[in-house]
Amino acid sequence: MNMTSRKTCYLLFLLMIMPLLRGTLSGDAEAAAGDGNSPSDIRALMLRIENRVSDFSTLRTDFVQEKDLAIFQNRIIIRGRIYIQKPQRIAWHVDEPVKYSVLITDRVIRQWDEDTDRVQEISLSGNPVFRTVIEQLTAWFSGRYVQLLDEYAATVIRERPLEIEFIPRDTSNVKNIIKSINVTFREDGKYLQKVLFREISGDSTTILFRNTVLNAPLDEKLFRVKPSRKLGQWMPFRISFRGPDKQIFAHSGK
Amino acid sequence: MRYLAGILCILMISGCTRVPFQKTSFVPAGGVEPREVLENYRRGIPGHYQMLHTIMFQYGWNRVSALGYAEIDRGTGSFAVAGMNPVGVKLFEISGGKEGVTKHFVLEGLSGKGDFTSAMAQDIRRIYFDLLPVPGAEIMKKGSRILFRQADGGGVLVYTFAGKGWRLVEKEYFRDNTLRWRVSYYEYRQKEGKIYPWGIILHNYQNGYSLTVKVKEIQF
Repeated sequence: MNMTSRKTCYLLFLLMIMPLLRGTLSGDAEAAAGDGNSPSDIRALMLRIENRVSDFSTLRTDFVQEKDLAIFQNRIIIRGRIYIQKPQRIAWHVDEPVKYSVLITDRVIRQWDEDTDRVQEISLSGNPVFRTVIEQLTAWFSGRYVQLLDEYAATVIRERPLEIEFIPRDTSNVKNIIKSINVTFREDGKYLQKVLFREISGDSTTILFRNTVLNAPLDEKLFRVKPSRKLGQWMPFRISFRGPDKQIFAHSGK
Repeated sequence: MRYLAGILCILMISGCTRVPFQKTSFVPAGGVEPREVLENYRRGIPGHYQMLHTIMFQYGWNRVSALGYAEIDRGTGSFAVAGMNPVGVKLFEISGGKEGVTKHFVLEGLSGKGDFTSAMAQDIRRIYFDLLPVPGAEIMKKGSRILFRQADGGGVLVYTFAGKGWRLVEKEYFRDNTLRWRVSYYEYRQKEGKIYPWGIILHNYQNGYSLTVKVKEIQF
């Protein structure tokens, strides 16, 4: 995968993590009341959220990701958990339909999945793309929402519950991929309820957040990507020696 | 030490293929009628279905996994497949028929590695289509296997049926007396009166890679 595609992939990944940016929004709905969508009002709203979001050191939440692909009728559902420990540790665990984990820190991105059963580590040193990603993540987790307005135009769609729609600006890197991102906060205004991504292709993804807890103690094992196994849980495997015959590389086949 | 070094050397050259599925339990083919085997299998497999699965691509010692969603229509020969990483980021989306293929989306890094779309379409056809030999195929019984051989595209396509239910367990394609590719089907399961393999492995010996498919959900 080249740098451009990695960048695209991780920009999308970042967009999926963005909904974790949250704060206590009591009063913010009121701030958006009335017209509330003038640039100054939106900036004020973002600033208000920004000022309130930095009061957690850890976060844990379950999520359900519903993906609707334009060419299929059925919905793909992914379930998992997300753990955040400030200043710079994020663990994203997918439990269904496949077990997968990724850990993002200020130094490395480490991932594992049950099919390959391998831990892959990507160093951030000397990798400006990932470094940028982490810097942005850090900024978001620190609650610097106002900077989102550089890349997105935001509009308050609904006041109760508060729903904000972000549309990429013409200058945005994701303009050709993302049509809009709608962020809905819970009725109590304290946390996010869901995030809806609409893509230019017609696909859409909804992430629903459940059982979100701020400032809960997080066990160190939650930040391990490869689950520990007890003796006897290792999947038996056999080795096949029916490998390729060298001469086949010289021909084109059916 | 020499033996150990030799074994390691063989492993390095041939590559290790992990088979995460149960082996088929073979039964003697003695009194089994091959035509009946084909008819039962034809009736058992679904014609049109959608499924969610995982795909592991292995090239040498490199392994990459993805989630996949596929719609297969054996009747019309059409298909649509999408792959995404476990976080839900789409990697590719293609559809096609017996001949052509349409690229709806392929992540830039993938499209740069040869003709990804055509290669993917070819693998899908090998795995999910032409699951039964032609009527005139040559029939052979070998112990606990029933083989059907037929000429195909300048080579020979061999279907192997085996196991208690006498289901398709392997499709192999030979050309110039060389095995070019093999699809192995494992652990048949039943749902709503139809059968499907829960695990599939495609070995593309010509290009030196394998695909391991695990079905997670299926709808007929």
